[in-house]
Amino acid sequence: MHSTLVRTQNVFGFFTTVAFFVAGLVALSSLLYPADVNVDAIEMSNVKIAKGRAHQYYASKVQEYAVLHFDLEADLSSLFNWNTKQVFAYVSATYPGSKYTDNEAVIWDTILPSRSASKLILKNERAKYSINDITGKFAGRDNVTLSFHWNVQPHVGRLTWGVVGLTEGVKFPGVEKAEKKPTAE
Amino acid sequence: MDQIQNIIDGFIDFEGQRLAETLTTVILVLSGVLAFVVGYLLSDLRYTVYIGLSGTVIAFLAVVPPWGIYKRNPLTYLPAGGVQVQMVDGDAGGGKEKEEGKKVK
Repeated sequence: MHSTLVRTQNVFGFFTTVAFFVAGLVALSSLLYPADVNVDAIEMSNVKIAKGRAHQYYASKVQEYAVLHFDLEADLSSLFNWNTKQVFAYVSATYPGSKYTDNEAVIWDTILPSRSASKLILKNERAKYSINDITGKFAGRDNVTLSFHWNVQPHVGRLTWGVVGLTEGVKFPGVEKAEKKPTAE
Repeated sequence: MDQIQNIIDGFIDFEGQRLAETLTTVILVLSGVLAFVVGYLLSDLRYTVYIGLSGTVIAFLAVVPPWGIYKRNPLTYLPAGGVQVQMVDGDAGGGKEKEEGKKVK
């Protein structure tokens, strides 16, 4: 500590140590806030399946696309504490298949930036993303379920994930003819 | 030129170094603890960042410049003239040393 340069180095060096430990404590403090997510309702309200091409100009393959509508009521306020930067919430659809047995696709997502935006109330919400199967066809498949996922992104620390609210199995309808009103569900 | 060099070097005495070391540790640890507690109690990480950084700025300002408080116990060296006198004496006895050196050889 005899000269200006050495004192500068020592103060900065110890500052980084203190900053590291404070950041570590902040990361650990997230454990004091257990996640308690309430999903009051999650339900598929409407499913339509239509044939179409992917939106890339080079895609020539015509395949089935499902556009889902769903209801969701969830309270994510317990995920917001002093170390929460934002919460990413998403709904995924899971359905079985004969060749590829486990299929899951995200149909809707949102970013919740603050506690004041942490209550989700959605009625007959249209899925952001239409889904298609790896085989190109999935009309008539049974036991389609929706699940609600959340992902907490903290300021300091590790990401945490959770899943709640699995719905009852629903059957995919048949393919809807283009430019016609749906007759069956 | 020497004055500029003195300001850049910023040398302080031994007691001052001890004090600077203690102040660095105390200021930074206290600001770290305070930053965590205030941020936690007010549930806002911004307080933690701002308090921690201001504590660091205070530590830099308190420790880095060679304040007078770090120079209150200067070492007193023997006067430069005295050393020269001893060297003259040494020269006088230099011959003896040389002789002893030869004896050893």
